[in-house]
Amino acid sequence: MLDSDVQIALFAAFGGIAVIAALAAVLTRYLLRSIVAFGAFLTAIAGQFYILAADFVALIQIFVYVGGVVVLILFALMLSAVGQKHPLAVSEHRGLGAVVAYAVGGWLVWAAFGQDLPKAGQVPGETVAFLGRAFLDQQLVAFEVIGIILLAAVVAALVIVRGERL
Amino acid sequence: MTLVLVFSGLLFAIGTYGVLTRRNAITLLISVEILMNAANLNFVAFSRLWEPELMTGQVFALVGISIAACEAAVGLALILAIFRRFGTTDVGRIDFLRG
Repeated sequence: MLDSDVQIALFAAFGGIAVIAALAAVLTRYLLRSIVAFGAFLTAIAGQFYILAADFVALIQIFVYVGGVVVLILFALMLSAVGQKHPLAVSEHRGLGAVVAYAVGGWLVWAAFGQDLPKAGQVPGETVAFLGRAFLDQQLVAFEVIGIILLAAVVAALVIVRGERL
Repeated sequence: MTLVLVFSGLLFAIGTYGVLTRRNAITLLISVEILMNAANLNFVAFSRLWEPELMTGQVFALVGISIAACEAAVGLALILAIFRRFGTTDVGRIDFLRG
């Protein structure tokens, strides 16, 4: 999977950044800090993708998430949090949420150990060309379904935001 | 591989905590995106283990990123519409459907 010690160290470093940024995004009570931490989290995940030999996925992660979704969320913040300077309210069920999160995380981490997994193989060198061919060949259905979903999402977003009768 | 699974499990737990405890709709959306990223990390990692020459996991991850972008667009449109009507994005105070 991770071939050399350098790769393992880099992966762990990106993972540490991702975990810290995700914690900051979830725990902070200021919306702008949460969004900035979310951007850092997405960039760290892109780094992990790159180390896992998914360079095209890492690129798309940066383009679509950091360049698209984060900017979209920033616009939503600008349009919706007018004059909102006080910290955000958090749920009164924080203890219960923490218990459930500990249980889920503990179970997933426990399940990660002791699995009899096959040896990691080599991916093709040219991932971009290969993915392009895969999307138009074996994965054509997935490609077309994404197109329909994107169209539906764009139309839905426009209709909802125009919102004369909502 | 275990390292990847540990990290994605931790991120999934953090996202779960966010979904369960945040009350602002935008931070809820961010938490859901953290969950989807944890899943995408696993897709990419497992594509190295099973049939790496087909890269099905990477295709899955790309599909997941597209779906997450759609979800963010529709979700933020809903948040804006709700804010216009109710003047808040606190999901605990939007009780339009309460009987």
